[in-house]
Amino acid sequence: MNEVVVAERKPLAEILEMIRHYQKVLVVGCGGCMTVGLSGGAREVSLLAQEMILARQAQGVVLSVSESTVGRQCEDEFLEKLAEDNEEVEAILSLGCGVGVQAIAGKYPKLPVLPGLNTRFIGQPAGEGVWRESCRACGECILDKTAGICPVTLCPKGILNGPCGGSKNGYCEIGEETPCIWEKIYQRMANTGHLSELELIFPAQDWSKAQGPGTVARRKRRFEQGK
Amino acid sequence: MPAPLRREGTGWVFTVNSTVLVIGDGSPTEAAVQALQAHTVYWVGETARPGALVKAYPDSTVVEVRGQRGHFRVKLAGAKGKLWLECGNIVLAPRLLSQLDPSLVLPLSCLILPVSRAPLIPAQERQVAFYLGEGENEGSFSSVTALNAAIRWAEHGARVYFFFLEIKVAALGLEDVYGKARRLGVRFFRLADPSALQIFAEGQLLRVHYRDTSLPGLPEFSFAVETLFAGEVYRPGPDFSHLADILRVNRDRWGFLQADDVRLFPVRTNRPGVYVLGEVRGPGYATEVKLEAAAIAGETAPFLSGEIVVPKVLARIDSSRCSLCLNCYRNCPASAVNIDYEAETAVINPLACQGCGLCAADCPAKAITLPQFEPLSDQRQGKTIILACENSGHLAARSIPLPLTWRAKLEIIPIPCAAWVDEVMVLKALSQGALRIVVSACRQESCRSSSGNRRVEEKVLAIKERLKTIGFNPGRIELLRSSANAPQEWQTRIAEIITGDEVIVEVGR
Repeated sequence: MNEVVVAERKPLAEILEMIRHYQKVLVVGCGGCMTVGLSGGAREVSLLAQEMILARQAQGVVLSVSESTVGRQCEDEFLEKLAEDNEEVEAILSLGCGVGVQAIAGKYPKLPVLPGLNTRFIGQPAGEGVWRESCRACGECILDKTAGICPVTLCPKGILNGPCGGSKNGYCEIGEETPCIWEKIYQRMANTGHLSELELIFPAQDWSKAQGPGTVARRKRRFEQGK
Repeated sequence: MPAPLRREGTGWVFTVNSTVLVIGDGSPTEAAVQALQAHTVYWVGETARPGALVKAYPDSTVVEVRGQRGHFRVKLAGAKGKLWLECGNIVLAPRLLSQLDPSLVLPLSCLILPVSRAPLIPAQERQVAFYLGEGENEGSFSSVTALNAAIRWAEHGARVYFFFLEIKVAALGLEDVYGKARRLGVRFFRLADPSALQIFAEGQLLRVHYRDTSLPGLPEFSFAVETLFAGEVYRPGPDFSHLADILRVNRDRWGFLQADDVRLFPVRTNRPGVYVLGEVRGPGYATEVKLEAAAIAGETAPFLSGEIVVPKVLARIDSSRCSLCLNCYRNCPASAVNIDYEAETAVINPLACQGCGLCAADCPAKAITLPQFEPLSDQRQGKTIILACENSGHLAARSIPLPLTWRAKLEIIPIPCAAWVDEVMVLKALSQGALRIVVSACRQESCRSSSGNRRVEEKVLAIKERLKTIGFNPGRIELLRSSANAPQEWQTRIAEIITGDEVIVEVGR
């Protein structure tokens, strides 16, 4: 199972604006993170389809919407089935993350491919219907040295040798909704008998690895045609 | 679903475990063990004793429970380490904790005893007092014991003073008990103002001083007593919330282990196969443990054969669509879902599934169906569709004839529970021409699936917001709460909703 890329549905008004010129639209969901994260799975596809149809009805116009959900939008093979039964579609509205939208656009370059979601972050469920960011994909994971808690993501300043002077009563100076993450790191190290690790001084972070666009290549397993 | 043994004319046959796990101490647990004597019983409790078919685990506590009715797996932890037990049903009967009524203002004195100790003290010719506080408003925790003790002391020639705020005599025979105490000369003081009652130590005695602000002349009373019995309240023990969490059993507003839901009475919880007995349900239930234990034995008796028949599979998961999002597993009020990590799918256990459809409504992959309830389809031009819960509205709708003029306007569709309603089905019906959707749900504290009628309220509000965003009248979805035995009221409520429909049917808005 993937980590969850967390996204939010765009407001209906914005989506209606995107499809204002079209009478026949295909809404595509994603069976991966978007399903698990309750933002772009089969159910959300149906829901958006009905909202768009009703909104157009309220304007006295008919909108034709077809629905499809693929295993993952980021794989070419899974996108092939979108071509079936959808010859007259004028635009595709993707409820995948930014990767999915671009993958579909790459596969069907002649059609407008529109994003129905705003991709927010990589995160984890924190209660019913709540997701919190926990990884910034900085490319230089130091979780072994910070008791499994990420200061790059969870510290608003992203500092590596914290806490800073703004840490007060366990909370960040930003506000009382944000715990001071370096205090949490300290507590976990203390509770597990690893407090001496706090004395490790981190050098400046190499942000070049987080600078995009990134590429990862595994030389031994390329799947180019004919090789 | 877990593999059934075979299929018969009556349904699917599953093998089940006939052992019952009983957790607790005291008279409720003893009553349960006694009533369940035909079963093998595992008894977990401090005072657990082995018996003919009883295995005792006095040094252990329950730390984890998995599975469903017929196949629970329970993890115990104790002095001898960890142990897994298997059983078919679970009975919860832990004791309540008693504490002195916190509303009473009392000095520190060894002459003050809790009312529950009164039956143990030999009655003598003395002056004694009883003092019951605001705790009695929650339930008659101490009044029965206190009145009986007062009678016993009065019969032995004691002078008894009884201070109280409320004595509720609604229980069987309690009015007679009160009357007898009065006739024996127990002096009752109903406290108009509890703060006017003062108690303080005076040498070897207690002085009770009371100024009555409700009688003319504001008389003052002053007594010296040798013993004061103070009222108690019963609270859920600290282990209650622990047990509730482990067992995923809902609590009522005070923390007792039976939610305020009339459909659970007398001994059920939201979780099939998990029963509650005695005080754990609430302090008022301490007196009927034998009856309750018999009720539980009645429900577990079919398990003695080792087989249970499930007539129909109520809800089914399509494994090829399941994304393992864990929503159904986390939200099922009956805890009827298991996760098969190897097959990468959620699985519904028919032995526990109540068919409410909450999982189906929430499943993001649309992988769950209720075979007996098809999603709405067909054109429904201009009609009001009533999604009527089969436990309330649908029964009410069928029990008396509908007005003839309604036939053309309405379509009444049975639903397993209001939990089954989802936003897509409502919006789809509207886009196919329905005038309005009415969800007819059960009343609060009366939902057969525990949480369905609460969740539907959130859903209806969410749909109303969506309709507003779309530019539709939010009144095109309505929620109605009713009961099965009030058909006339149901019709009146429906009539209120559909009156004036002709006016609204313009331009589809």
